Amino acid sequence: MSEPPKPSAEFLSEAQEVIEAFSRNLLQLDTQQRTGEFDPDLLNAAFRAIHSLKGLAGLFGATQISSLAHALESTLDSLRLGRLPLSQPALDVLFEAVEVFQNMLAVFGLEETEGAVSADPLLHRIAALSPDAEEEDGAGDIVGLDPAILGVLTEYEEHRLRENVRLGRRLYRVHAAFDLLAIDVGIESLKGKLKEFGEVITYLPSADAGSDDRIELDILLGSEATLAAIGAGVAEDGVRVYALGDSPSDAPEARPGPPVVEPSNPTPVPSVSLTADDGIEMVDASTSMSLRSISQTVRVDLERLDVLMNLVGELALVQANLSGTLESVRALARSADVSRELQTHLRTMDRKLSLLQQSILDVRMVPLGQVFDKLARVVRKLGREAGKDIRLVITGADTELDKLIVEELSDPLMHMIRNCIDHGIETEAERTSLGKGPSGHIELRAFQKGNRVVIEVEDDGRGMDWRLIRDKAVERGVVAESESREMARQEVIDLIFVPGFSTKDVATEVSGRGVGMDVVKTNIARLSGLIDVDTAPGRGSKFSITLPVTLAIIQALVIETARQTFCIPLNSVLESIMVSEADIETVEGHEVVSLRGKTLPILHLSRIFELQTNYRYLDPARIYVVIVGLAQHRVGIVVDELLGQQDVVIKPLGRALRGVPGIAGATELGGGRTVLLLDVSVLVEEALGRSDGGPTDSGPAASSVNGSEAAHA
Amino acid sequence: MPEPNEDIWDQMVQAGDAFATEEDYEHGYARVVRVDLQQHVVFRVGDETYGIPIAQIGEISKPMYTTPVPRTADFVLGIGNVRGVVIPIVDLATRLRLGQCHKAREARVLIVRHGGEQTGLLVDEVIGVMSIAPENLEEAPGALAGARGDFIRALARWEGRIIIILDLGTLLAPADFLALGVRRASGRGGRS
Repeated sequence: MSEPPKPSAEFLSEAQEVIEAFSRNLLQLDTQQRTGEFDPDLLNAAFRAIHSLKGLAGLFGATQISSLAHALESTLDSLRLGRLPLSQPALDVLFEAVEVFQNMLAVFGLEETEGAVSADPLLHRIAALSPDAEEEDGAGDIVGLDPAILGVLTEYEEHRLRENVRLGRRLYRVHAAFDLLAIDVGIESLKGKLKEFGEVITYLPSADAGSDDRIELDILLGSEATLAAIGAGVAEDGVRVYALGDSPSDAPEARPGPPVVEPSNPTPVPSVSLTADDGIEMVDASTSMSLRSISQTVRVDLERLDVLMNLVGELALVQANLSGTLESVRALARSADVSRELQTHLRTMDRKLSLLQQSILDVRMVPLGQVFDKLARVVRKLGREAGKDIRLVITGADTELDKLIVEELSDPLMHMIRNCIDHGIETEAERTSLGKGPSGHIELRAFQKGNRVVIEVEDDGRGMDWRLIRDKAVERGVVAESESREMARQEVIDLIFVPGFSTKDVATEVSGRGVGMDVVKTNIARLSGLIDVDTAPGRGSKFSITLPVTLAIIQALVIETARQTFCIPLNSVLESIMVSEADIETVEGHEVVSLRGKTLPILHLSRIFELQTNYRYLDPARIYVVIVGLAQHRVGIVVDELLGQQDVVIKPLGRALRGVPGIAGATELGGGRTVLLLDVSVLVEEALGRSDGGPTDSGPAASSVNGSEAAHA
Repeated sequence: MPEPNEDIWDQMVQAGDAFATEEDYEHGYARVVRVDLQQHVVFRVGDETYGIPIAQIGEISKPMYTTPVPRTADFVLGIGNVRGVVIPIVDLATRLRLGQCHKAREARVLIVRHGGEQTGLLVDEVIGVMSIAPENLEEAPGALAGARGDFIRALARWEGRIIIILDLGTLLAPADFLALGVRRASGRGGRS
């Protein structure tokens, strides 16, 4: 079972978190850089993240990581001091660093792979970035600012100050007093308000400290707003705003901050660290400079959660057994009081148990943003490699899914995104000639729909022409020509999920060859999800993935057929109907029933699973049919009995039996019974894919494959 | 989750014959302790005697209720539930082409561990635990041909009997667990 976490495991998870934060900062910077103006705080945050990483890596002896972080730190420092312009090439290097860090982390702790990831090429590129020469400095004094103030500013602050002046902003001094006990809260709230007006350049402690339990601060603010507007915005106790610079009478108001810790030293210091230059700034942003964990979260091994989950599942069984006992107690004479009491307790336990179950499920839930962030990096990288300008719009990144599902999703999503960039989005020239905007759009959407989560990947590229798909499918031998003529549009489009199908003839580095949407579909199906595609030539394509929210505990419909009990995941059950034998018709050897004007194929578990050689309906007038599937893919499963709904804990079958088609796992019902859970997506596929008449000896799974093999020939 | 008595079991197994027992001292001498003896659980399937190294056996239990699993090979009895863990149960007689295990009073299920997973083997009778010296083991006998030969790792001689030491790797090859028609079909997707 799970071992106690080693120090290196701690390091890995924390470093991972820092790198992810760094990557998010970069992505935001990247978007802002395109629009021209960026938030300097983002650069600061990126700088701090790398600084933490350096410290962290040093602590755990990850020298490679720490030396790369060191090099990056200098670069980021130059960037935030404006000595180096924030350009796309610079961002390229930073994004590359994210990848290199992750590769380094992947091999960290494996001794034999020491040096498997080389940072040298990246280090060269970092070195090439560094500013050529000292730029012209001191471009004029800042009008009206007391030299004494200038003197206590750090190089960074001075840079921001000049930057604000260059942007034509006005400078303000905001004087505020805070209660010593609530100073951090007070500063944060004031800072938040001020940020709406412009940039907070620095905090200076004020000389005239009134009392012992109050601290007065001067805040230097660069803003485009007027004095009155700012004054109104920060109307708080003890906050006064003065304009600096243009009015001489205001100038003396800007008192120098006497308790200077740092010697006034405006000359450029290479690698300025963010150590606080006065005691008060320590309270502010620099707290995150410490090696304390950045996040408030605890990382837990999934295996440990699985253990908890199993325990809860078993508790639920005990509870079910107790309910059984209650029934027997009730049957006893003169036990009315006892049984009533027992029932009350049982009911309470039941409620608590479901709460416990729900909380454990919640713990397993992580936001999809984790994957989306990775995808955003991929979009940027691939877009630049393909020479296409691509805007990625992400919505619903906070939609939560089971951790396991999120992990398993990243590869399929990555593949779909690659397809969008490689096949979907046209080149800039092509787009312009078509009257589309020069940059392509990819939208990544996630939202919850009932007890399922839908993820959509939509691009505004060239889309897919179903006629071309049909021709290609015939050419590739995926379908026979005669067959293809009878296929509906959607059926044809679904052919892209057939193994070996690819519409683009040129294999590119991006999408590669051989693996395609069929792999994506298989991966999604393994998560009991479904994938649909909608496309229009010239307008783009939309892929929708529908997934259950969680895998571990599901609601199941318990059914019985041929005296065997099975569970069907309730989230794939659409409804249950009752028909009589006369309602079952035969179309080309397939048994079908009609439901509200639609014909749907039915299947007998007893036949496809060969449970009983001579299956007979228990009552030909009352045949239960469970309708499963999604959207257009519907199949009816004939069962003998519907035994009810139940929450079940899915247990894996182990390596040997994992490959049984149509069986997704096992679960325990009360009374120590182990029953099988049906894999509905496979059964639906078998029922729809079966092209020859009726069941054969080789079983339906085999025949569905033979069907497509025959089409290949 | 390890249980306390499992730990003791493991320790005993690891120590093997390195322990001298009280019985040994009772007779006034310390037994010459051999540390190279290999302990095997010996059991009967049909008329033949088999052995599996004791380290590969997690526990021995009475036959439990199994749920049949469709589309599996004939030797797969189904799945059983061993303290919350679902494991496949194999009828060893069918697997070894010796007919079927008779679920008589003596029948037992050996829970074996192989490749990090547990499997239950239904046998007709567990005879006991024996220590085999290496010189009495004949590794990978070449003379035995056929499918059953693949399951044999070694032959051992013990008190005049020949004991067949089974090879769990081939005996429990996952590909063999599926029914024939299904096996061919499921090769398509390539499970990663």
